[in-house]
Amino acid sequence: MKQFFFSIILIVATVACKEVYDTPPESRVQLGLYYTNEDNSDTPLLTTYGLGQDSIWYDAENTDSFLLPLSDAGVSTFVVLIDSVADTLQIQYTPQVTYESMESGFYYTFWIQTVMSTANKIDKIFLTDTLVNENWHENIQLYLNDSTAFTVAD
Amino acid sequence: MKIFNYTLTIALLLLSLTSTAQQKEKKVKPKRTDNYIHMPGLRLGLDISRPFQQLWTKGDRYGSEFSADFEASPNLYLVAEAGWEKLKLDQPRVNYNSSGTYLRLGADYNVLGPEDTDTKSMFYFGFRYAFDIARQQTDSYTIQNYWGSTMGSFPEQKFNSHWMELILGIKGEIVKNFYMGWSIRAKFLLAQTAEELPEIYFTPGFGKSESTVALDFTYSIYYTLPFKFRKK
Repeated sequence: MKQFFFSIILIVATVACKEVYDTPPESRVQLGLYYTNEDNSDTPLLTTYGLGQDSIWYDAENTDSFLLPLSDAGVSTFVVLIDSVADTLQIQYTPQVTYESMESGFYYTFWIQTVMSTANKIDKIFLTDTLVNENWHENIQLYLNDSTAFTVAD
Repeated sequence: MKIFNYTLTIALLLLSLTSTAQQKEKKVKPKRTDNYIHMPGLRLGLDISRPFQQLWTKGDRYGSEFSADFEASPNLYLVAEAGWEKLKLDQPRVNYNSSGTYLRLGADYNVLGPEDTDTKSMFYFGFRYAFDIARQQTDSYTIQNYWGSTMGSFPEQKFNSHWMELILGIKGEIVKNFYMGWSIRAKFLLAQTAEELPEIYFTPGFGKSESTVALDFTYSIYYTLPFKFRKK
């Protein structure tokens, strides 16, 4: 009798687990933040969101590296506030649908073509790797000046 | 004294080697005495596990499979298995289906010695070569991220696959000419039509082809046609 109930539980558990599907990976572009002034050892304060999007992607986080999701449109534009100074960052790329598994699904791989930004906080941009895939790694380096919201206002 | 020690060591070594050789000789299997055709007729089978595969595999997998085998020489059975299988996967991000027909050809060797001349039950090892003609289609897929959702689809893709199977199983005669039996199978994908995108996910008759090795089991009922195609 005990074995019978154990068998039933095993069958139910098997049937219950078999329809669990993993989510596919997501390719994200990784950006590193560096101060042009090498004496500046502060960790930048970052807030960013997609242009036209309601939700904030990073909300006032101290970080020297961040990840951004790209749309399938071939161009994504972000408002990036570093140390409370706002810049607009635009990334242009070629998206390609990539197969992961029928159980998890598909995702996009991207090849970056150009990166542009306004120059309030961002001094220079270096594109270090054009391939954006599910193995997140640094693609873009942003070199920052020392200005803050107060110095810009001045 | 040194020479004596060497001599003793060599003698012991030779003794142990001789005894090992003798033990090996003792393990030689006696020749089979059942050198006769056990089942003179043709046996037809139906795999009753195929329609219920959705109980233990992801998605809605079902099919049917028939088999025929006859004893070509004592204890060696030539086997043909033909079937049809379909998988439908309808999950939040992918709507996919694959279907096709397959054929397996091979042989089973019975290792079970008979209790008497009427015994036809068997415990066997088998080998199959198999191929299929199939198609798959990704009706829709959805990619979601911060920017929203993107939907797409892929048209029908026709493909062929070739694989081999190693089998272990039993067939027991329940009543005269009626058998039941199961087998467990290790399947090895040999070749498959290359598809760029998406890759082939499900191969009818083989299973998931994300890996080149698959395990499966069958549970079948058989009936031996009561016609003797040759003398016993």
